Amino acid sequence: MTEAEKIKTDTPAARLALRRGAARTLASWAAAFALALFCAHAASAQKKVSNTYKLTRPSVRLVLMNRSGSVEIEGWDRREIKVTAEMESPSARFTPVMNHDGLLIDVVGDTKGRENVGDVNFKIQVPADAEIDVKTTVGNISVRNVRGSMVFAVTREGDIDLTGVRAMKVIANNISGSILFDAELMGGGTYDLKSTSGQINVRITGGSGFTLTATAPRTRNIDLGGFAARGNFDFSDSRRVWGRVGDGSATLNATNLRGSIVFVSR
Amino acid sequence: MNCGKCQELLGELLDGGLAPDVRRLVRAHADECASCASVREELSTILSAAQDGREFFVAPPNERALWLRIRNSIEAEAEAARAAAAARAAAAERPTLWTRLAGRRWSLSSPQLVTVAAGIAVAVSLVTATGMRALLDGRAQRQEQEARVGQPVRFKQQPDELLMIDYLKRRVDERKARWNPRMSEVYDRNMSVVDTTVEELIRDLDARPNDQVTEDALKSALRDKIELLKEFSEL
Repeated sequence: MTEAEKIKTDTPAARLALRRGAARTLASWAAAFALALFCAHAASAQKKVSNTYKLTRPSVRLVLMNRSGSVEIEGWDRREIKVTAEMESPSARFTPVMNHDGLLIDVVGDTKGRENVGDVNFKIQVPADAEIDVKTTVGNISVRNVRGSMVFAVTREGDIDLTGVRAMKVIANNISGSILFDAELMGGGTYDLKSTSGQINVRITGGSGFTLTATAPRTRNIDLGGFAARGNFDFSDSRRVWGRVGDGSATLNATNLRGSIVFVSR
Repeated sequence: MNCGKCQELLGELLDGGLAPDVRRLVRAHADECASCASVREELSTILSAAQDGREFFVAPPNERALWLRIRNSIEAEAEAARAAAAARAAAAERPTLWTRLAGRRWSLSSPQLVTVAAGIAVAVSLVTATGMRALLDGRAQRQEQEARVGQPVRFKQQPDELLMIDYLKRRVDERKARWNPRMSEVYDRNMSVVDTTVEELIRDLDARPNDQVTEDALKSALRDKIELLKEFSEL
């Protein structure tokens, strides 16, 4: 340090500036330390597990009963099921069981009587022709690109998103949250969509033949979009619209007790 | 589809005269609705009884014996009638038209007997069908009158449903203490949505009794309530 610099730091203003700089550095280090501690704690609390199940049978069913957390299921072209689960709480646990029907994951049964189980968020990849039966008490459900004979998706509070589904029997049911049914209807298939207070959006191919019963008793908000002109419908009671489009071979029932039902062509 | 429309179409359903889509709707309603299912069963029983009767007259198990019995019985009656006529003729010299007819010997060929038997079968079927129709119409009218004239029909929940709800509520209350606060909030929020819906629908049904859409919606909301309670009672 030169003599001139020594003289400058000796002034009161320079001493104040030095003290402020040191305080800032100290605060930064403290923040970084706190963040590191938080991350370490979060990492220890959250657990992520992943497992793959090889399949030998030609058809397979996935049954999942979750209590809280999101469920994402996607069809793929491998003969195996890959399950990835993120568990919010260490007390959450489950043991998947592979039986002759397929894979059963029962988080509700496996955590019965436990406190503070927290969310268990699933990401599952299944063969595209798998049957899906998934239920979560709280949380969103998403099923994509599955072509098995049935898809059941039930949640009490959460959105249900069924996209690219091609199945003979579909049930989607929630109390709060919206339902998106973006699928191909099959002749002879039955499709039951029911919500209490969300919105039901149905996006199906324009040429689909189906018999429809759409009920919205409180809102009377049933919008058939382009299908209104393509089919033969009874609109005499605006709370319940019924009729058919094309050959009417698929049966589509949509009930929304306090919300709306909207149809869109794919 | 409401009960009135369904019951109107039930006869045609059983006759096989409905278009496939209407048939599906009527069947679906009758499968779910106890009252319509009962009417369908009654009509079906009547029809099958009438069909059984027709089969009996058209193709009796021992046709020859039957015709002989009928013939003997007619001849015996004719003999008796002749005797009576002779007695009356003795009393009054000039026979009346009735005595002439009664005194006539009736001889029927087999085709004639078949025609007579078939006529009896058709007449019995017609009388039964007309009677049943009158009975059903009368019942429907009485129900309508009761609904119009009497006090407003208040919705009454099924006792077994009430018992089930009560039991599940107690189970939920026992378990609720173990849930985390978020789960409790979710339960309260959703139960409130379902309860509000049920109350609104009961009010709607009180205002418009026998409204099928509201009735269906109410049943659906009550099912939701039971499912919600069941699910949370297992956590």
